[in-house]
This record gives sequence, C-alpha cells and structure tokens, in this order.
Amino acid sequence: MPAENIKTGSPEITAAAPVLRLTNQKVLWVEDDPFLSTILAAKLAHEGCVYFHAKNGEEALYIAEHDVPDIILLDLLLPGMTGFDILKAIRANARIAQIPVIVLSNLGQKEDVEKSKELGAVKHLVKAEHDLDDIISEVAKVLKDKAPTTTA
Amino acid sequence: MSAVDLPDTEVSSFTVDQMKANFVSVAAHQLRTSLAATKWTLNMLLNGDLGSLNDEQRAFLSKAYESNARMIALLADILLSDQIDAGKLKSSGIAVNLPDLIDSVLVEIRLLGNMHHISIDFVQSGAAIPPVHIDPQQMRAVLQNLLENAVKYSNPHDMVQVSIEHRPDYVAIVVKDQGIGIPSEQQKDIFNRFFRASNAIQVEAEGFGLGLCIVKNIVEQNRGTISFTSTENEGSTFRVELPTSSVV
Repeated sequence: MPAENIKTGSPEITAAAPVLRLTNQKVLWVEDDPFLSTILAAKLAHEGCVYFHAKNGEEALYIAEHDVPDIILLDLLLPGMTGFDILKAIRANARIAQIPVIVLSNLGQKEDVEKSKELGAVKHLVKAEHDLDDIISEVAKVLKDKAPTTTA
Repeated sequence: MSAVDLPDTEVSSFTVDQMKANFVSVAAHQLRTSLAATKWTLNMLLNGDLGSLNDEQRAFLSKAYESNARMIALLADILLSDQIDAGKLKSSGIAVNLPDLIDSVLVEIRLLGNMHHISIDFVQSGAAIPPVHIDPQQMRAVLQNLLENAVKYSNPHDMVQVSIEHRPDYVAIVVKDQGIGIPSEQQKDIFNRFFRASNAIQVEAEGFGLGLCIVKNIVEQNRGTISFTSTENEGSTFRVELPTSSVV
C-alpha cells in the first residue's frame, strides 16, 4: 500500500478562524465518493481535526493500523471490501479494535442498521438525513464518551 | 438480506421480487449520495463556512436546502413504502417513553411550524404515561408524518395540538389541527397509497400520497390502530392507539 496515495489533512481549505471543537482529534473517513470526501474534508478542517481519508478497505485498514485514529467514519458500499468487512477486520485486530466507528452510509434499511450495531459500530447515520453539523456533533459526542479511557 | 450483499450474490438465485427490492434499495442509495452532497454543500454555504452571504443569496440557498430536504424525505417514504410492499417491514419493539419521543420529534416540527406561522402545543396530562412496546424509529416516522401534515395543511396562525391519553389497555396519541380538513366523500381513501385529497393538492402541490399509507402500516405493524375525524375547513384529528402490554 503506497502511503503517498493516502491523503492526510486538507491544508488548502483550512479555515482562518475555525471552531476548534475537535482540535487535533484524528479522524479517519472511509468514503469512495470524491465530492462527499471533499466536502467533509473541508468541514473537518474547519473543526481543526487531523483528517485522514481512505477510498477503500485496504487504505482504511492501513491508516487505522499506522496512524491509530481517534475515530473512524465508515461508508458501507465501497469498491472491494464493504464497510461491514472493514468493520469486522477492525474488530479482529487487537491494536485497533477499540477505535469507535460511526457508520456513515446511505444504506439505512433496518437490517443494515442492525448489522452495523451487531458488528460493533457505535452509531449508524444515514448521510442524506444528517447535516454536517449533526455529524460533527455526533463525532464530538462519541469522542467525549471515549475520552476517560484514552491515555491521550 | 442486506443490500450490501448484492454485488457478490448469485443473481440466478434471485426472485423477481428480490431483484426489485434490491433495485429500489441500490437506486435509493445512489440518489441519496447525490442528495447528501447537495445537502452538505448547502449546509456549509448557509453556515458561512465558505464565506459570508448577503440576504438574497441566503434566501435562495435556503429554498434550495428545503427543496433538497423534501426530496430526501420523499426518498425515505419510497423506501419505506417499498419495504411495506415487499412484506419486509419489521418492527423491533422496545419499551419507549412516548412523551420523550414526542418532545424530540417536536424539535424539528416546531421549526417547520415557525416557517408556516403555526404554533404547536404539546398537552401533557401530568399523569405518568407507562412505556409502550414499539419500534422507536418507526413511531418517530409516524409522528413526523402526522405532525408535518397537521402543519402543512393548517392556515397561518392556526394551532396544532398533540396530546397523550392513558387508558387501561392502551396509550393514545392525538394530533389535532384547525386546518383545511378532508372532504367527507374522500375520507374513505386517505390511507390508500398515492391518494391525495383534492384540497391538499391545492395547498401543497408536492407530495406523492405515501405518508398516511406508511403511517397506517407502521402503526398496525406495532399492534396499534389509527383513526381520524375531519371536517372540511375546520380541521382534522388523528388518533393513534398503542397497546400498553408488551406481548408481541
């Protein structure tokens, strides 16, 4: 896996006066749609996150293992491994099994939501039904709940 | 089956219905991706994340945002409708505190109410309401639908009232409006899919007539009943009764 293919951060769109609610939190977002990735990158940059982006399962697992993000936002329909496969692989790897995962997909059927929960996702959000602000506040909430158990 | 299983499943084993169900699910996924991109972009623009806006720009973008939100809601209705059609609507009942659920739905509905100059009153009797065994997400959709209808089909400065009644065997949620009502000769059709009352079409051109059909199916799936009374130009009252026993 060539590391240079992996986009980290989004300095070109960093805001002048960001609201630093998620400052320095490492967020990995797994999404194959380029436009959605760009929008979320801009938003996370505004929030002061250290942002990692993966387009598929291999990249996602590589980054998860090497950079150990604080939280992972995971799409489900991806080329190659599905989000569910990625979730299983994360849970099976002791080094990264504890990283909270929010499934962020447009699959929102009951069985999809239940499967996400079964595989250990903390939340399943349907993209089209949540504003970026909602997503950021869900991320902040999950990180806050997680905070007492982390060493950072 | 989960829609994610589609690409690597043997196509030959699909029945036509399964293929149709997956088609709708996959098509909805693609449409939602595009709708989400628009929603998020407009959200950032309206937040001023990409620079400040003048009032006219903001007004136009708000209209675009609303239009996008309507399309997203319609798509959700189509998906639910499709599940009902395929007999795939399942409820996962848990003990739910109805006043809390109503409160959380009202957060969004009050915003809609403000836009239409409709005030929404939640009347609580004060007596404790026992939890009901229902699927909270599905019942949220029911409440959203009934309350949105009540707001949309009211006249400016009307009042919408939500109340909860506790009876020995059931809890009733009552949504009452002072709006346009349903013409008496059309009342028998309102739970039919794609039906829209003639006066409703005049007030709100958009809409596919899916909402109340979905509402009825969900309520019945959750072992409840729905009924209504309505008088044209005076208003409608919808009543959802949900059993308090947890026996499924």
